[in-house]
Amino acid sequence: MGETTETFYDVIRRQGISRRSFMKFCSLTAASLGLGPAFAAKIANAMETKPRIPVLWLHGLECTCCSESFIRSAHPLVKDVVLSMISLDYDDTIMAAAGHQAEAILEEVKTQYKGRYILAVEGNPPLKDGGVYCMPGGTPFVDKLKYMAEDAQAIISWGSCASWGCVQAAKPNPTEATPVHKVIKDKPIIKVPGCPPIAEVMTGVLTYILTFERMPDLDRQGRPKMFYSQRIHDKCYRRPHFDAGQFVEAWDDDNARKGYCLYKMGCKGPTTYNACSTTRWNEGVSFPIQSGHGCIGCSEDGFWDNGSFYDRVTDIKQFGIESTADKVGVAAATTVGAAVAAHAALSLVKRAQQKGSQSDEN
Amino acid sequence: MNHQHAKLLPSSASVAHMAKGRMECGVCWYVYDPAQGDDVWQIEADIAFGALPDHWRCPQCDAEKSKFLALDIADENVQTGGAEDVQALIAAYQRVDQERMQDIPFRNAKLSIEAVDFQPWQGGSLGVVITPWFMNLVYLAGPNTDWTAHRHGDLVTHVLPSGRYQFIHGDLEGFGPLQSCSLMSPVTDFEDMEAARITAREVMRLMLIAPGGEPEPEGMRLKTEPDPEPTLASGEISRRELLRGRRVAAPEI
Repeated sequence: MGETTETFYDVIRRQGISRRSFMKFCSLTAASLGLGPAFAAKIANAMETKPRIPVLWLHGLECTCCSESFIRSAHPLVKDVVLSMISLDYDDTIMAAAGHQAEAILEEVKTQYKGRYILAVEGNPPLKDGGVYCMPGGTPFVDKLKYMAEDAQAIISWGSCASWGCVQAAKPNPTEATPVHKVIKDKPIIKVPGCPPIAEVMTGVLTYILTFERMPDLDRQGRPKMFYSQRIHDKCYRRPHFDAGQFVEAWDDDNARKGYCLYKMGCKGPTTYNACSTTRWNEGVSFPIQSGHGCIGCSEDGFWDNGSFYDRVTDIKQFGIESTADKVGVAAATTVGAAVAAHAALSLVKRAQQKGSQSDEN
Repeated sequence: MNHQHAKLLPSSASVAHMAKGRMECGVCWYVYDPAQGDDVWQIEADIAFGALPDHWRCPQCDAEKSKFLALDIADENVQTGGAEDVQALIAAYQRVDQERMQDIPFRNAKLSIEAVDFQPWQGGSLGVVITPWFMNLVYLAGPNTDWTAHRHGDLVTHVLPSGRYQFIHGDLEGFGPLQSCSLMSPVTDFEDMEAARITAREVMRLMLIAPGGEPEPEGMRLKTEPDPEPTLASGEISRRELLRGRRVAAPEI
């Protein structure tokens, strides 16, 4: 754990990273956050002057796919920069310390950084039978979570487990696995759903919080708008085929080879809010639809209980109950009011807008 | 106008916007007019310049096809916002609707296919297209637009007065290349065409006006410092101070 006054920049320099690499990192980070080039300087400034904020990473009922995704982030590079930048003081999966020594860190951060540290939670607590179905360090995870959340200033719910419940909360949910926001109600919670979330989205959210000392702008479901305001369908490279009514009708038909739209094969792109079609995966190489399979909607609430991956999406209430990334209010436009239309139009324009990224691709 | 669709539809877009356009030989100023055709090469009337056979040469001076330049198509297209292309586009989507979209569960039958507020933009034309299954901002190529480098599915960023937008390059059967930026899909929330139309008009208006102010990071501010200072981070000058000509952030503000 570092000194209280140590900045991100100090740590980075101490690790032998050059000023040039640091500036490059700042501009890449700004781009990955969808912020304009002007923000690169702001990020650099923040990292040079602001003390590091400790991040504690707890694991409940989960499969570690979030961690696996996280450590593969390319921009920013976790290995070189993020781990030092975010001062990941505790993560029982990837930390070197073990046993009592490790658990002592939690206590230390809780007192020393009271009210200032960020609590990142991967997985969720099972509540049944007093929480005995998840016992890290010999205590029920739900108790540990509540205890550490007391003095955190904000909580990040990593992945669909922490955000919605995911597979362990699927019917009949035998251990009563419960998403974080239903257990902790008095702290700001940022949900970063996905199974797992995209690596660059995870590091991007952390970078944003730590450099700007702000929560990212959240939608009504508590997801950062910068990554979750558009549906996969909105920016899918196969979208022109959808617009033109060109669909894959069977997995091995000619249309599949031509790369037509996968909607009829059960693609959940039209109802799924995530950044897969723009940020993509594995350093922007591809994403499920690009590899020929429809989106399974893993970042949406209750996706395990929403029927087969291959059922066609039929019921889309995009501004109703289901998807609330942006309140557009077109539903209210039964009788045409200019004000309602204007409001709807503004939301559509804002949502379509790209926030500052310089690149012409991805 | 229907006879024009027939003429425009079978060809690609590049041909589509040349269909009515006259082309002038850069060597001898001979004008090829599609309405007339060409007796020397036995080209019938209503054959677009782009559809002429490869061996066709200037009937007057034997110059190659590539020596020809658009005579009046550019002006015409700019004045009308590419009205003919837009009609061809609508016709193409109407066919898609009838042939392939009828069984799509979220097709909004209350909506019809309409182009809203298309206007000249960057040599081509820009407007909103409403169909029962999407509402897109659509950019159509003009006579001088070069899209040869773009492939189907490429994301292309365009800068409008209101900001940057990512368009997806696509190729519509029976029309040709176009670039579209999804505003909404599906469009089940529109109760009638009028609601969709008004929204689309408003979208176009907002797209073309510049926003004020400089960008700021969004979101709720966190409390991070034990004693939060009221000013900005050291060395940073607020916008107000900058405009007043102050060089260093004053701590008492």
